[in-house]
Amino acid sequence: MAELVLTRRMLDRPHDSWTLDAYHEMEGYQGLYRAVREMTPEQVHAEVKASGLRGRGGAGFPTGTKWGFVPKDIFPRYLVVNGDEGEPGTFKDRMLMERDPHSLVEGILISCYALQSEHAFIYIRGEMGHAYERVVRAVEEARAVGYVGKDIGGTDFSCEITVHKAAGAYICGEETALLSSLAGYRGWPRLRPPFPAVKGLYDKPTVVNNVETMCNMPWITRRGGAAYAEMGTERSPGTRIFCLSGHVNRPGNYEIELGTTFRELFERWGQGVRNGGRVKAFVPGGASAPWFDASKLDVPLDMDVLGKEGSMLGSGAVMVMDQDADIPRAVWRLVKFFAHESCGQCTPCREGADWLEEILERMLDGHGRPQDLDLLFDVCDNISPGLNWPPAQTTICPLGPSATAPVWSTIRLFPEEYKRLVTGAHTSLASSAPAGAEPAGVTADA
Amino acid sequence: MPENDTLSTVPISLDGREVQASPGQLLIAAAEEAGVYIPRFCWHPRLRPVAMCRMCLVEVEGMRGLQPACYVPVKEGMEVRTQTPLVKKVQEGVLEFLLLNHPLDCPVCDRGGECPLQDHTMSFGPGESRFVEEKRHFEKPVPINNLVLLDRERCIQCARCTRFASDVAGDPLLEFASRGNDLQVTVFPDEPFSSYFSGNVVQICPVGALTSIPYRFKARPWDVTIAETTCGGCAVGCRGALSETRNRLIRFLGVDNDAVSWGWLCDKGRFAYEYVGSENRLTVPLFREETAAADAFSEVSWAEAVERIAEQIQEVKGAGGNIAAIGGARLTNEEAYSLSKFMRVVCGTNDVDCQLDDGLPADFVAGARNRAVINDFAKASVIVLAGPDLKEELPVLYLRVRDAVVNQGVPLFVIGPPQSGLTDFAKKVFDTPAAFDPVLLPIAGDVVLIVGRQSAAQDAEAQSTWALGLSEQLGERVKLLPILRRSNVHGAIDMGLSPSLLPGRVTVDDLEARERLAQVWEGEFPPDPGRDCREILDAAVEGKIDILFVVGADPLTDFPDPVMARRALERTSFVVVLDLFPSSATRFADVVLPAAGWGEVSGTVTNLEGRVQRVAAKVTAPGQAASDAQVFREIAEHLEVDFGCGTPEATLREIAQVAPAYQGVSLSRFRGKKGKEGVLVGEGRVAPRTSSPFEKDARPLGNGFRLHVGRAFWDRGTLVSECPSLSGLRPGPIVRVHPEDLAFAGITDGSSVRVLDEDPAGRLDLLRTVVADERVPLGTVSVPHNQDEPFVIRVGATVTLERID
Ligand SMILES: Cc1cc2nc3c(=O)[nH]c(=O)nc-3n(C[C@H](O)[C@H](O)[C@H](O)COP(=O)(O)O)c2cc1C
Ligand code: SF4
Ligand code: SF4
Ligand code: SF4
Repeated sequence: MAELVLTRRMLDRPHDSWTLDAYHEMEGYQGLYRAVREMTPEQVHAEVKASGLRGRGGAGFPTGTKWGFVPKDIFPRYLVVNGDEGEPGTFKDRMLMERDPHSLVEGILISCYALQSEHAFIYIRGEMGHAYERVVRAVEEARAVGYVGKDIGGTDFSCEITVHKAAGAYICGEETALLSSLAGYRGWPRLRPPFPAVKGLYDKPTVVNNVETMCNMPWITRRGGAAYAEMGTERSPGTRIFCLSGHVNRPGNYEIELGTTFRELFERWGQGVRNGGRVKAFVPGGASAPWFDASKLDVPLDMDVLGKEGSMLGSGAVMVMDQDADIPRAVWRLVKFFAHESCGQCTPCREGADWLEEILERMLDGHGRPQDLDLLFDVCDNISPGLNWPPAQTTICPLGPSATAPVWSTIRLFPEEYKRLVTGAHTSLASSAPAGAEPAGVTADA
Repeated sequence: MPENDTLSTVPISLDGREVQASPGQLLIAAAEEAGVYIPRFCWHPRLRPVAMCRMCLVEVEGMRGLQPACYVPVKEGMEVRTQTPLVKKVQEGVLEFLLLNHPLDCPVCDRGGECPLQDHTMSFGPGESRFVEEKRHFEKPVPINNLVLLDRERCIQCARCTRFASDVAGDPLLEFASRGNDLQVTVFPDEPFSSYFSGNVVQICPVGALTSIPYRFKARPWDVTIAETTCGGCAVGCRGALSETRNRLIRFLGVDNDAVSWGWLCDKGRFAYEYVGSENRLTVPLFREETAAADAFSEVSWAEAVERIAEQIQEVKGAGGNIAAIGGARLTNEEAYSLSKFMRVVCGTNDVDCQLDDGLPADFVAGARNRAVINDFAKASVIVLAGPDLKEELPVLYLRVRDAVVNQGVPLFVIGPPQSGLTDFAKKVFDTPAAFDPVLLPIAGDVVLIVGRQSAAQDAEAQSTWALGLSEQLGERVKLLPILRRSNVHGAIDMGLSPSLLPGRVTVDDLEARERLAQVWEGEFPPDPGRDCREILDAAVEGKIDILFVVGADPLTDFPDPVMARRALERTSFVVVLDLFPSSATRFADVVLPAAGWGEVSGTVTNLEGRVQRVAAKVTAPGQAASDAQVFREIAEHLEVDFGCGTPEATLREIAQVAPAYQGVSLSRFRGKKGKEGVLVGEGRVAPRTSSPFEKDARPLGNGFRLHVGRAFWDRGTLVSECPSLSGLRPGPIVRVHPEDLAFAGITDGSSVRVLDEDPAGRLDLLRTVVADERVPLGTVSVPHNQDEPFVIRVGATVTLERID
């Protein structure tokens, strides 16, 4: 197992990992000093490129490449850190902000140096009061000792950090909606082009990165991009925090090396399925991802491999369901979330997500009709034509297609569970799950 | 949106067919020009594209996924497919989604029969509904202001109305609330959609979610006939389509043209058609009985009225008396020309004036060289605006200036009282022209200089000589736009309704013009300028005017000295008033003639740019009301003058023949695509007057405030007061003062004040409610004109404010 990049400090110093003193004792801000005193911005950028680090917010875009899209000579430019973490099942950024806020601050300063930006914004989900306070405090502590502000580390690099508490809409995690919201406008995703790297916050070039993405920067500057790239797989280097939830014995946040299989994640870190049960289905990468059944347990946690298998690692949320799970009901709950969180701009998402929710609800209420399965498919198809992954979309942002992914992927994997709802024979699924319909799952390792 | 640059086009492939399109043009517009209609709801050619409805998705070779045609610009060689199975499936899908929650109450919807959602459903929609769930419900309809109702169940969330409100009108009072399936258009709590442009959202709403209260349930599209015309509400001259059913006007919609109005109308222009059908219209000729007490009129026949007026003229002329006419800005060009000709050849005088000493010198307006047109605004390097508050007085001109400044980034300097909606975007604001320093202007590029009368208390001579001085200083770079307010006042000046001008922007002493006129006009008239309105009224007070024609004007409200105007009418032995409604002037008339007006008379009008556009007759005038032109012709003919001008068409031909600036203007030029933009008149031959440096304004003395009298959008004019839907909207008798001035004077916002001219001879003495308004410059008292009883306005007046407890 590779070394822990992100969670070592909170494991070593569970009672004060978030303080500046503790952080200092664990190589804190050495990466920043190394960057600003010994390296040019271009060199820092080159290390990030060499690390192969891919964004941890969902899309998995290579961070070094993204930074390269910023036009050379337009200033000011901004770094905006996405701490809106609202994807159901995802709870890693909150932990990082609560327990290791200084690594976020240091990562931001290093990134700003590389990007030649003098102002960064951290956009923190409104409900995360504790994380917000810890981050604000960390920024204050860092400012007090001269890491934030003018002439950092005696160089002529200056950088301000503004912490913003969001107002509580999932869609504001989408980067262009986030930028609108941050600037005081309605949190609606924007059409592209222009891309944020060219015209983002206040119409200036802007890089948006996830909290976890940022927290890797101190390590990468201290140890070098090459060392980082040695961990994980070739196309998905490094470690990543997975938010494991659902029917496992030990749900939680686990930092593991990319390339590990789902089976290992469930058995070794999750301590197996509850009550010795079997995995029936799992969501491999956040509520937006198409679901897998147990036949995919040996797929490695690698962004490209997952893409080829028809889903994604997304935000790193992995949700496990055992043989007793009521699949249509679980899907309905996710669709309800998306319908509620649609910004309402595009017709297919505003109307379609809600319709999907209502059809599923009606079916679960015992009023399913034979034509409903085709209808569900077709409604999904009108939001995300072709029902493939990565999805085609008739919408502005990927939220619309996200709402369809759980529906069509599970109708394909578990058609009988839906058929039962349209023949009127539906009672409670928990007790009547047909055995043998699912492939064998993992068992708890003793 | 800027005009399409059609100079250079590139080939693109559209459904396998090669067509030409302008690079940068949006695909949806390019396809439409090439004859391929891509369905859409949210896209509107005059609004910023948002690609929200997703109806216009098409496939573009080399671009991933479906592309909104309303957002993707044309590039050379692009391959676009609008008819593929995928595109069709998605269109059906979007329509089905839109119809899920739509109430389908078409039979009781004003939009039924002319609804894009209905039409698209027929052409592109799915056959039947697969939706068995409960539809969204909202309380309906809810008023969003005094003129517009919102039905959120019918709304398809296209954001046309919200974009119009914030981006075009600059009144961001319509917004979306909530999200997802709850997304709904709303106004802010306790804040109606107070906009002078609110009717436009009704027009551009692609469904019946926004309906206008005046038109509600009035007609179905198949019951009406429609004609294109030009609004007569002010001198902007917006294009519109006028609907009639059973000889009543019931609706006026904006029609897009590129030069002027882009399809927009202000609410006054849009809803004022109601006055045409008012019960208070004058319908029969009236004569004052010689012996009877005041206000005792008796009805006479037209023949008798014409005969008695003709007799009077003959008598007065025989005795060497004076005949004069004021007014005429309401008339069409053809009617104004007839009046102009009538005064010259029948009455033998140049004592005519279509302005009531409330505008600018006519020779300045008609003589301006190197004129700006509205489309120059967006191309200018800077706009200098020294005029009245455009939003209040020339509303759609305000929209066009606003677009240039806010959306196209053209810098703006404001000189004079603040411009609502524009001052905030100005680079700098100057209290008076004297304070403006041309050094601030960019060193290259066109300077558009918009000049109008800022206040009835402002010296119009000084304003125009200042503008000419600035123009001289800057030379060729200046494009000048002199602006007057009233309806067809620019056309009336062009037709010679000015003491110093003849038809076609020439002076009365212009030999060439006189010669040409002599071939057509039989009758003598003096070669020297006549009296202007003030001089006419002055002479009348002294008993020197024997016959006064008052044509569609009310000097008792519009002339800056209503007391003098009243005395003038009282002392004139024979006053003939031609108007649509009884007014304060008709009370002093000897003859009142019922006139036909807008919507009842066809012809042409000329807007403030000098653009000639057509007006249409859609209903017949009430009772015996007749076109003013017909009245003058009949009187002339009664006096055995061969007047000609039997029809508007014949009159226009004569105008083109004798009026230099109107040469070549003919009906055929208003046809076709180009004709939609009207015809710009040429330059005349009015010698530029001499300029002079602007004299420093009389700064307020002692406790005195500078008096500013501007027009408010909603006033007591007939356009408003005779429309049931509009008459309640005016702000009423108020004065506006800067809050700091109020605080200094110890006067609280909302209290009653007395406004008194500092000059004892000034006679201004008003009781008004004071409103604190920080847009009013310090040291100024701003009084909106024509809100209640008229008052005396002295040029350069300073006033005191006194609190009344
Ligand atoms: C509907 C939606 C919600 C999203 N929510 C989040 C979020 O909460 N946090 C986040 O980091 N990225 C979120 N993203 C992804 C961001 O748009 C963006 O890709 C990301 O912040 C970029 O950071 P990265 O490159 O470091 O991953 C969301 C995307 C979508 C479409
Ligand atoms: S897909 Fe949904 S969330 Fe995204 S922009 Fe459209 S309506 Fe908003
Ligand atoms: S009210 Fe009309 S214009 Fe406004 S969003 Fe709804 S459908 Fe569009
Ligand atoms: S701006 Fe003037 S011309 Fe245009 S609609 Fe309004 S009143 Fe009519």
